[in-house]
Amino acid sequence: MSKRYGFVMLVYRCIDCKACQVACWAENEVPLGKTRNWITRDGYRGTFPHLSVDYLPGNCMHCDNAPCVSVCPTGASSKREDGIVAVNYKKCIGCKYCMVACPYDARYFHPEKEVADKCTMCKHRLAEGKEPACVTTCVGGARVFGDLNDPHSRVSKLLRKHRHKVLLPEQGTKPSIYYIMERPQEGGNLE
Amino acid sequence: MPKQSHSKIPTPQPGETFHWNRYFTRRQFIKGSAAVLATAAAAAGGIKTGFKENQVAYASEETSGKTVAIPTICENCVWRCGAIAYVKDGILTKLEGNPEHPNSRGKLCPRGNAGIKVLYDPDRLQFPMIRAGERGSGLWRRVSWEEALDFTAENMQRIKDEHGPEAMIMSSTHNLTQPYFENLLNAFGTPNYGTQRSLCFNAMTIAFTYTYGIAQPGVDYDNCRYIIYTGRNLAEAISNSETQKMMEFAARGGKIVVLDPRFTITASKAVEWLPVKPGTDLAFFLAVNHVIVTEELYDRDFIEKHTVGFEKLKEALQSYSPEWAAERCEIDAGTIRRIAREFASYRPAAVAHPNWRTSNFRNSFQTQRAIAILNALMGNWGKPGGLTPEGEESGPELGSLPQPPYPKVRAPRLDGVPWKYPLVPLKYGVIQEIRDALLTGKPYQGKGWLVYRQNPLMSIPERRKTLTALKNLDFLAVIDILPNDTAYYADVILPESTYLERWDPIAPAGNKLFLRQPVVEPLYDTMSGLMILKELGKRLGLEDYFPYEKEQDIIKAQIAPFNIDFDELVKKGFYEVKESEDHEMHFQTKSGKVEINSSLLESVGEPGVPVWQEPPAPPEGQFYLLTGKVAQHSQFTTQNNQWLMELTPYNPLWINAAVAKRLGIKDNQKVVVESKVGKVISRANVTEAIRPDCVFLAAGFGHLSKALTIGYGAGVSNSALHETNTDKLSGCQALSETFVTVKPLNSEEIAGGETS
Amino acid sequence: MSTPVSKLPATRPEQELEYKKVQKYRSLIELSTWLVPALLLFLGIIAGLHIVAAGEEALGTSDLVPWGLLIAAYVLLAVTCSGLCMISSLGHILHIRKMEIVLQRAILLAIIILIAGFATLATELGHPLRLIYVLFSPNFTSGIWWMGTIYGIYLVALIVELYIQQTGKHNLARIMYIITLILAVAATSNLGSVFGLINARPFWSGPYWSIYILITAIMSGLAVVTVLAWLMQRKERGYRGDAFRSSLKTTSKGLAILLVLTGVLTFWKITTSLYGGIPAKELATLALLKGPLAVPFWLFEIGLGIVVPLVLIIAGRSERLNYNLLAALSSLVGIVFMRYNMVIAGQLVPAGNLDVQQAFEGFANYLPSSSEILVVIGAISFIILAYRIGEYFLKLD
Repeated sequence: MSKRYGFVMLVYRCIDCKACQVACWAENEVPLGKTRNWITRDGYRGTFPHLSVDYLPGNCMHCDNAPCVSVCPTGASSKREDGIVAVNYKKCIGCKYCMVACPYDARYFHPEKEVADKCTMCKHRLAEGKEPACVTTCVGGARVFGDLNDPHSRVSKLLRKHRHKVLLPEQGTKPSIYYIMERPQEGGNLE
Repeated sequence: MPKQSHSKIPTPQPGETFHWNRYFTRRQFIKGSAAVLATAAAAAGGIKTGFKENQVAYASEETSGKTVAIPTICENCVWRCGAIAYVKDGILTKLEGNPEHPNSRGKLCPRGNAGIKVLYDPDRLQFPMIRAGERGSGLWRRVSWEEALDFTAENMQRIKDEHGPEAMIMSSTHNLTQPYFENLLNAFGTPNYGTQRSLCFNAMTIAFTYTYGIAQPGVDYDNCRYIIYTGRNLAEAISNSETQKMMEFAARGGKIVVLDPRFTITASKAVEWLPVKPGTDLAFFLAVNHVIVTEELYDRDFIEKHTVGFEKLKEALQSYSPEWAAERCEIDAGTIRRIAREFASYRPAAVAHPNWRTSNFRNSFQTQRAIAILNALMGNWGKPGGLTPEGEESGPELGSLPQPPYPKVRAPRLDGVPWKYPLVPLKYGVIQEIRDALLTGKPYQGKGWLVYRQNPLMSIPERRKTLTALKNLDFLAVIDILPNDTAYYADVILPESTYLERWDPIAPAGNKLFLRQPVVEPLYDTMSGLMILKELGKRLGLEDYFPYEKEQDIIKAQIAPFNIDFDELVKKGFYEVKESEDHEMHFQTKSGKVEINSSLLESVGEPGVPVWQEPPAPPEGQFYLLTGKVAQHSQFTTQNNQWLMELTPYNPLWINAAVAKRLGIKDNQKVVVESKVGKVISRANVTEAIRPDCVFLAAGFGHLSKALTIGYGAGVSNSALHETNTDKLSGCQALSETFVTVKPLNSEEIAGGETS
Repeated sequence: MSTPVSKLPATRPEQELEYKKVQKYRSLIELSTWLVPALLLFLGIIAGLHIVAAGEEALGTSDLVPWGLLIAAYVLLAVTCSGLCMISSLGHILHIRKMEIVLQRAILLAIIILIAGFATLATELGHPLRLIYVLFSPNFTSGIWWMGTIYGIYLVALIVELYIQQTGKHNLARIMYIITLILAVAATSNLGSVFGLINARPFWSGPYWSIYILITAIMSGLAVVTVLAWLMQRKERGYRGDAFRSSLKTTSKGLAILLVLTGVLTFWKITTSLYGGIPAKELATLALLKGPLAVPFWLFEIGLGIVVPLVLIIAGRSERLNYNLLAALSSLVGIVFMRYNMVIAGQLVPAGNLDVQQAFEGFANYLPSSSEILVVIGAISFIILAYRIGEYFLKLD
């Protein structure tokens, strides 16, 4: 079976340090003021002193049913067999339809290349056998990356073991990023 | 490669006088990596100083057009993570964690990742300069290294000749070059050494030193099952490897209890968050110890074999019941009792973390002692899941260069160690006392200050006083990489190469020796700290204390005992030493045991066991001003980093939502924050995540230096608000004993702006 | 062109002098009607070149609000073009005699407006040259691809139609009227679907905008034709003048009907968007009602766009020519903001935040840059200039 790359986010393990963002900016030469990935705060829920908060790391969801791919007039955006939603800069006419159509606000307009740019899953690093830069540097260990088609991959194991969700499921986009919201139990289960 | 970069046009020529503020407004924004390449190349080519021996090890024709990986050590905080720099054609493109390094474990925090923007900071010091106008006028003259060094050494020598060496203060913050800085200080003959310690975690290190003989024990996270953190916010005050281990510990289901007046990110990961009243964590731990001792939940064997003074503790703890504590710390007595029992049930895999500053009150030394003793009661020392003797500073013994003994110091220290602070180690000092001594002239008048990689103007409380003290000096010299606030008021600035452009002495970590080496040629006319210190020493007639021609000589001497090939070390970045033998249960204390009752404390007339010390509380209508960190900044050093400032551009004032409503303060509204010593105008962050009696300002912002074009004007400084309150035992500055009023900004006050 | 002034009998020297004065005065106005638009067009071109060169920096748009005034202007112009064409075709096909006289000119105007629209769009795109990939690498699931393609074909059809009209082949012309009508309906409703297909923006998603744009296309077409008829009746005398006046009254009545329809549509759009309390829909609507778009919405879209013209037409019983002119002009100003509000309101609520429990507060920011505004003014000036040139060279009667 072919590979199908995806992320599993162990939300409990995210400490909102944003190392993932800086690593991505450096790795992908992201222009100042733009970002390919992010951390969203969900909370605070409750009132002092009964509080909870979650931090949701995110980037392009590399949807199986990606609105950016279907709306692109020239096919500059495409879904690759390995699960990556890729942008062909040469074909991008800069109409920004994909930016408007993305329910996750995952894209930004690259001011110099004049294209709608976004996360590539660091495909150049994957080619060298490395993980995406955001995953490699994740201090809390919240970002997990791997082949969703491989039953032995860590992502597959985590998804089998834990309840998970995707963001905005009602959009029907079928994202390749899964979120595990559970907090750890004694005896250990978010490793 | 960073795509956008400032470019300074034109760069002042040697001898040319320039105005800092105007110089920096004339900059242009240049797009594209070509421009950066050109700037870097021009800078690298144009400035051969003759002192530099910074041959970049990897550079060769073979590597042209390829990305080369160079191992080195990060310096965007003091944790010293092993990093791998990826360099292409002399341009640093990426920094990653070195998987071989125990402090980084292959990962870097946001600051470590943003090291690229330290190297390519548009405001970096590019050449030596001497003041050409009033102090702080912004008028400077570009000079040669010879002139700058001669000028510095002449002034230091003049002060020594006229007032004695003690009139010269020298200060520096935790860094790898520090031993040679101390060489200069000791050889020069001044006792006046300022470090960051008394503004940081003196209370912890001294408490643990006097209890266990080790300043900063570690935690065996792999086997631990229960940890109590007290004000230690590892998720936001990142100590890379320890933060990683904490999250792994938590993910395994390890129990975390956090005492903090703020719902920090660490608190959000905890099983239980106890929003303790500031200054009363001491009461909590006295009560926990009380429960454990009275219910006999402690490790009897460990107490008998390895400790002294248990009986005295038992006696002292009698009155500290959970009910007694609950009245003070506002944590329910039942909760205290339950936590004490739960905690003890996990022993020895239960740790009360040594933390950093706990509540940051004058009584924090007592709190730290109570915490140290709680660990002793658990008998967790050296046991799986307990405290580990390996502290930050431990590691294999390194070789050294021969040097003559230091001259005898005849004068007392300005900071009162040990004549006012008998328990504070000489290497730590009490830097805020130096500032005060400069203002009072007692016991004598300090005349000059050499500041190395430090920013006293931002770090010492009561900034207004510090500024006056600096302005009164005869001579102020600063060695740094950025035009920081202290540098802005200096007489001479010696620009250092960044950690990505220089060699530093070896940094041991665990059983490995790591090397910091230049990953690119210096971009500008800068030198390494080691060479600056040597050149200063040479001009002061102290050359024998700097027996090296270039930085590598030191490194070669350090690795001499291990039979390591230098070139291999350069290539690999580290060398693994054989693991030392198992540690015996021996403690470097006076008694050789864990001192529950401290003989040293008793020797200065203090109680030998922890006792309650009532903390001050804010009067009606005022708040505790809390300080702390954000994960994206390191103290006062990173507020000019383009990437980090994009993530965290300023420090809003956290204020409890219910209180804000009462005061008529809306989220993001401007507020006036005023303490006894200062007033600032900040923006409110109205949040549920803080106690109603507290407000919080993250440290590091509110720079005065107009030469920091990104950091200037961003956020407010809490040093402008902090009062000076020093604990007489640990010398520690009690940062949280400052109380403030908060009110919405009225229109008539807008004109005032920040007053420091 | 025959000027009515030349037919005045010259009697006395004083009158002669008076006449010369008037003549001079008139030719000054005449000259300025050429010079002012030419100057504005020049400024627009400069601003456009600046946008193409500087890219994002010259635009008020951001990653959260990627589409700004230029997209709104494109929608405005493309839809007005279709509206003109639809009226023209319907007028001919259904033989609405009263309107025929003014419809002759509608095709020329439609072509010019569409070219102006395309120019505006090309300015907005980062790389206009890459547009060839629309041809060479088509993606048939893209709303924009269909919209662009149909409008492209439509432009060609309009030009053919104008040519046939010029050569006077009436039978062929009738077929072309039917073809362009179909294309106009297809293109307009397709443009609506460019927004309707965006599920990420609940304020846009669904068939509403296709219908709305179709209806308001006819409305804007009628408004333009009304203005045109007013201008012509001033110029022409005798039978032709009467014909234009009669035509003007008819189009105004039509305009009134469409104003009512648009008002009803808008009312239900607002009501349904608020009713369910679906966050993104509700917030986008609130942006219009009391948020950053409140002034463009209440004052321009509703006030000048619907209420004022309706009142004017009803007050003049569609008989008072100047009232009708004012009504048409007012509604045209309103239509500009209708397009603007539709494009911007859909984007003011950032999509990505919707999955967190913390309620979204505040809106994304968008304010058009001066370059964007200049380009739109330039496009309108181009329309005026090009039409006047067309009037000179073509037989439009």
